[in-house]
Amino acid sequence: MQCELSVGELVEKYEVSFAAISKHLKVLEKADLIRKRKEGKRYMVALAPEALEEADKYLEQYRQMWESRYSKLDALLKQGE
Amino acid sequence: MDKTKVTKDLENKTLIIEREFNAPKEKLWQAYADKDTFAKWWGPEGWETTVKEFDFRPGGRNLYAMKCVDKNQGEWFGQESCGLMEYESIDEPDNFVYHDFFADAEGNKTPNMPEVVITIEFVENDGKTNVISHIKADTAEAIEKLVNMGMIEGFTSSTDRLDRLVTQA
Repeated sequence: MQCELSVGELVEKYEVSFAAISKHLKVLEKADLIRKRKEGKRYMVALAPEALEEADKYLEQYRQMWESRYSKLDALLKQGE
Repeated sequence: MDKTKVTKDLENKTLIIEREFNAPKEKLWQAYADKDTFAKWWGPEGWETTVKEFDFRPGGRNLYAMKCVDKNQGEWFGQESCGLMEYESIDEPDNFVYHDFFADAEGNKTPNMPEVVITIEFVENDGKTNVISHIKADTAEAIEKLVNMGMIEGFTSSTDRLDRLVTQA
């Protein structure tokens, strides 16, 4: 089952501005986490079904985030020697 | 320089992050247990950490904000993300356990997020210390979700309620 909501419904449900939602959707779409399609005047948004399977791609970014954090700690430890 | 290892253990609903440091474990312990030291390294490259509350004791909490100060990070520049840690148990200098939350600037937990319990373990060998973070969620799907949303704290704005909605849908 695919749960689909229109952008307008998201704005209503989450009480945030249309501009804010559009911005977030753009990021999510870029990351292939959601699908957007036009239905008449409305844009319908749904989770991309393969999103979870693609987690490994994000796992690498996650790893890099931790590496970045730990590099700072490493430098800090060396400083303190 | 890829020293950090991440292992996904979906059966145990756990992500394991390992990193070895050329320092004794007391120093690594300090990096987590001391407010000022923690603030110096917790934000990833280009992110500055401000610690708003810090009580490193069982039942105590740590509320912090990270702000992107690096213009080269494009859309992240200027964004702020807050995190909240609630310490469950502390066994100095071997390990401690905390619950991890996204929060707003006042420390209110962001709703509809998976419950994540993190154990940080310090293992010293020959003057070097391996820091092992066990990130355990209540469901395997929650782990995937965290990674997807990812890059977890720091790389997504904590006020962003929408991405959670869509990743949940």
